[in-house]
Parts: sequence; C-alpha cells; structure tokens
Amino acid sequence: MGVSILAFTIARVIPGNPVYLILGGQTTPEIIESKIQELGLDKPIITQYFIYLRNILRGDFGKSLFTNNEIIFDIKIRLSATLELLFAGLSISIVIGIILGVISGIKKDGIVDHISRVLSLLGTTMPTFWLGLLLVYFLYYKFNIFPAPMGRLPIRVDFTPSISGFILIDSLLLGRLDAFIGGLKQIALPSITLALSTIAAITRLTRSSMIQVLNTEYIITSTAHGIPSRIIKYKYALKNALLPTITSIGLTVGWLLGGAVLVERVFSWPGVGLYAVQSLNMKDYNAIQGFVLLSAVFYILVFLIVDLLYFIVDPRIKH
Amino acid sequence: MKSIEIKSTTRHNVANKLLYILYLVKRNPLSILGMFFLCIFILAAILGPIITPYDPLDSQISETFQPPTKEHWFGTDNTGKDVYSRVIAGARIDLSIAFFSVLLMVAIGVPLGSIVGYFGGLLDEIIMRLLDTIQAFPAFILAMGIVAALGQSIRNVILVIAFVNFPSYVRIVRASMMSLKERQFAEAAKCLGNPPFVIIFKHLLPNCFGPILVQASLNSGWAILTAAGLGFLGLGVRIPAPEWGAMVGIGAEYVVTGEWWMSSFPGLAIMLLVSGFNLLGDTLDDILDPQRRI
Repeated sequence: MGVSILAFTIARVIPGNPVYLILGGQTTPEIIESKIQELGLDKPIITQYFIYLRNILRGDFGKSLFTNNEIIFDIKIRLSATLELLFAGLSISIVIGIILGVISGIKKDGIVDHISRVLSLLGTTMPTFWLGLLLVYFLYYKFNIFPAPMGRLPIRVDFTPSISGFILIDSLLLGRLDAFIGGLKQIALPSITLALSTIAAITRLTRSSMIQVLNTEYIITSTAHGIPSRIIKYKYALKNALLPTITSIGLTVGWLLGGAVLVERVFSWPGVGLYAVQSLNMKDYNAIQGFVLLSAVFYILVFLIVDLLYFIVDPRIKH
Repeated sequence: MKSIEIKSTTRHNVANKLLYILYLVKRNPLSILGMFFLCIFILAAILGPIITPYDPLDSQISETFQPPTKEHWFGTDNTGKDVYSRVIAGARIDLSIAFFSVLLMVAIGVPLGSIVGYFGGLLDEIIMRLLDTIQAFPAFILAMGIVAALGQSIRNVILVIAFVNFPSYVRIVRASMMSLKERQFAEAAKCLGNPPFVIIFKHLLPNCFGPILVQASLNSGWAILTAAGLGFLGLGVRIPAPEWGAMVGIGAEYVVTGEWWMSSFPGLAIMLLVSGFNLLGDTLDDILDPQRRI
C-alpha cells in the first residue's frame, strides 16, 4: 500500500505533461481536452490514486510509450532472462560465500581468511559495471575465452526456452546440448559479475557467525565428550552458523536486483533491467514506474519466502 | 594550583589517547592505505584545475581514441578529451556528491531518530512505517526511478541518495536512544528538571556519535557507488560533465573493440575512493568500539 503511494508520487512529480508526450507536437485544444479526460487527469488527485491502485491490482500498468505494448506484457516476456541471471548470481554467491566464510571462520587468520578479506574488500568497492567491463576486456577481447557480451545465446544457436523460460533448464529437458553449452558460456560472465559484490557480504557474515557458534557452550561440551572435531564443525556448528546467512538472502536479492540493471546493460542481457534502461533513455516514465513498483513487490515476496524458510530451518522460533 | 594539576592530567590523557589511536591505526596497515587514497582524492578535488594538463571539457577532434601516451597519460576518449584531466576533475564532483548527500542524511536522520526514539508512541509508529515503505524498494532501483522522475542534475542525485539512505540513520539513532533513555544518567538529567530536548541533544545524543560516524564513512562509499551507477546508466550528471560513472558508461561501448582506457581509469578511481572510505569506516569502528577489536 505504502509502496504504491510512493510509486504514484514518483509518477506524478515527473516534469512535463504526459498528454503532450503521448500526442506529440501538433494537436488542438479539443484533442488535448479529450485525452485528459480519457486519462482521468481532470479528476481530484485522491481519485486518481484510487483508479491507479485499482489498475495495478489488476496488473494493468498502462502502455509503454516506446514498444507500444502493455507494460506488464513487456516485463513478462523479459522476466525469465532476469530471473535466470539472478538465480545464477545468487547460487554462485551463496555457494562461494558460505565455503569461504566457513573455512575462514574455522581457521581464523589463515590463508583462506586473508584471501577472502581481500576479496570482500574488492567486492564491496568495485563498481559492478566496471568489474563486468574488465571481465569482458580480458576474457573476451584479450584472451577470447568467453563469447562477446551479446545476450543469452550465441547468434548461431536457434533455441527458444518454451517450458520454464530458463535456457539452462529447458535445453537440458529438450536434449539440446549445444544450446546448453552456448547458454552456459553466455551467462558465465554476467552471473560472476553480479555475484562478486554479494560474495563479500555473505562471506563476512558466515565467518563471524561461525566464530560465534564455535565459542558456544554446546560446542565446547561436545569437544569435551570426544566427538571428532570434523563432525562438530561441519555437522553441529555449521547448521547454526548458517542461520544468519539465510536471513541475509533477502537483502542480498535486493542488492542483486539493483546490480542486475547495471550488469544487463553491460552484457546486453535481454532482461527486465535492460528494458528499464531503454525506457530511461526513451523517457518512458510509465514503464520505469512499473519496473520500480514490480521490483519492490518481488523484493517483498523474497523476504516473505525467506521468513517461511527460516521457520523450516530453525524450529526454535515456532515457540 | 589544583586547577593546573587537572589540566596537565587531561593533556596527558589526550596525548595518551592519540598514541593509542596511532597504535590502532598502525596495527592495521590497510587503514593507512585507505587514508592515503582519501588524501590523494581530496587533494585532487581541491587542486583540480591546477594539476590538470588539459581542459577536461575540451574536445580535440584530431586526437580521438588515443591510447595512453606521454602526452595523454590515460589516453583520450571518443571526442578527444583527455581522460587523465577528466578523472582529476571528476574527484570534485564525486566527492561533493558523497559529502553533501551524507551530510543531508545525517542532518535529517539523526534528529528524527532521536525524537522518535526518545518519545516513542504513535509518532514513532507512523514514522517507522513510512521508513519501511522506503526500504521496501531495492535501494538502487528506487534511486533510479526517482532521479528519472526529477530530472538529471547533481543536486537531484544528492537529494535522491540522501532520501534512499537516511532511514538507516533513523534506525541506528532510534535504537540507541531507546536504550540510552533508560540509563541512570538520563533519569538523573530528567529529575533535575531538564526539558526533553536538552536531555536528547545534550546528554543522550553525544553517546551515539561513534556509530553515526562509522555509518557516515561507509555511506560515503555507498553514495559514490550509487552516483556512479546512475551516471553509468546516463542518469546522473549531464554529459559531458566529468563524472566517473558517466565516463565509464561512455567508455563501455568501446571495451569490446579494445579501447580499454576510457572506462578503466575512471572505474579505478571509483574503486580506490570507495575503498578509502570503507577502510576509514573500519578503522573508526576499531577506534570507537573496543568490543570489536577481536
């Protein structure tokens, strides 16, 4: 509710009259008048807000000025590309972040700890888009290990992900190995770029919670009982140490979502973020507003899922 | 006689404290590196035009796409502007975005947080729900949407970065206010008949300076990254103003064909400045919060 008010306000403070934007230069006062009535701009601002709210609850965000499609349709066809990128980035950052965090938590001030410290300094200070450009320069232009940053599939491969919309999943389901390998090569650099900024946060969090858990009484007790330290560390301690990490996934997704806009621009990834950037360049405020609002909805949904996940992982909070 | 003695002990204390801070800074060589970066960029921002060999806005059509040479240390860009001069000139823009946006966040967030934290009640409830609304958006995307709506200018970028991030100050100050107001010295100040605003701003608030300072330092880094991200998307300052993010954005198109210098150097500048702020934040945290020094 509050989110919709803020998005509505953003749309209303836009300088310039949307009527002129839609109709272009040559119009008569009568046409303008009828367009204003059609758009409901003559009604009081509160009424306008409720009309707007009713529309977005039906999934109606209006039309995009530059593709001339319904915005919700535009976003829908681009959503799977962004989701695939987000999932890939999130999995990379969670897996590497947890591994680095656990090892550097167990062996404080060891080699891995120092490496992960440098990595997290780099990850939090490098602008995402710049990192992407560096990877493109070295791994594509200089050494030609990865393909050019041009979308989800190599140009030669003709494949539409018709089942789930995810190229990596659908190509396996349909037995198209060429599409799978091509898709994997295309997604590698953008997802690594996206992941690096969040690996740092996850590593640090896992490390400190691992250190904390290893100092608790139940771990000391189990050590005193002579349980092998491998079992204590990876079975008893790890489970509890991962709880804060799981909570942080919600925030991580928020970061990734913002980063995805930049990464999609760098790699010409045909997702929602690139759509937003194109809309920005075309001054298509309807589309931007829809994008901002939907990403907030997505963000809130992720938080909800994480909360539910927490219930399953940590039964203690049921009491 | 007595007063002189007291003075000398306090001076001794101050000297001791400084030595101790020096010890903490020395213990962590990275923090010295961070200070070094910060000093370089602050100097570049102050000296600006004096140390740039070319006019950062001057295009030489005959000298486009030059790789780094003796004449152009960082090369020239697609319109023949000297990249080195632009990176130096950019320090002023990016540092002032960071400085003013963080100043604004603190100026709004801290008083608001103290008031709602101290008084609580309905006002607290309303304000915190409003802040929840702001934080329900992914920060960068909200910043993007608002700048797009307000129109691009340095002033708007500063306003938006402050708007998206001031809730974190409200939360920090509110949380410490809520625990501080229960403490005995706060009760004592109240019993002596001090009005609430004196208690808040004179007695309680000075106790929150540590976390605020640390947050401000870390936020400066975040502000620069956000401003650069907006610039990269073509949203921040207007081209051809030498903002680092916008420079990377222009250079991005030419990376696939191998003209790396246009985007690499401004990107490096962003990274070094942000790491300067982050390391400063960590150091401040070490100095101000003894419990963290494990």
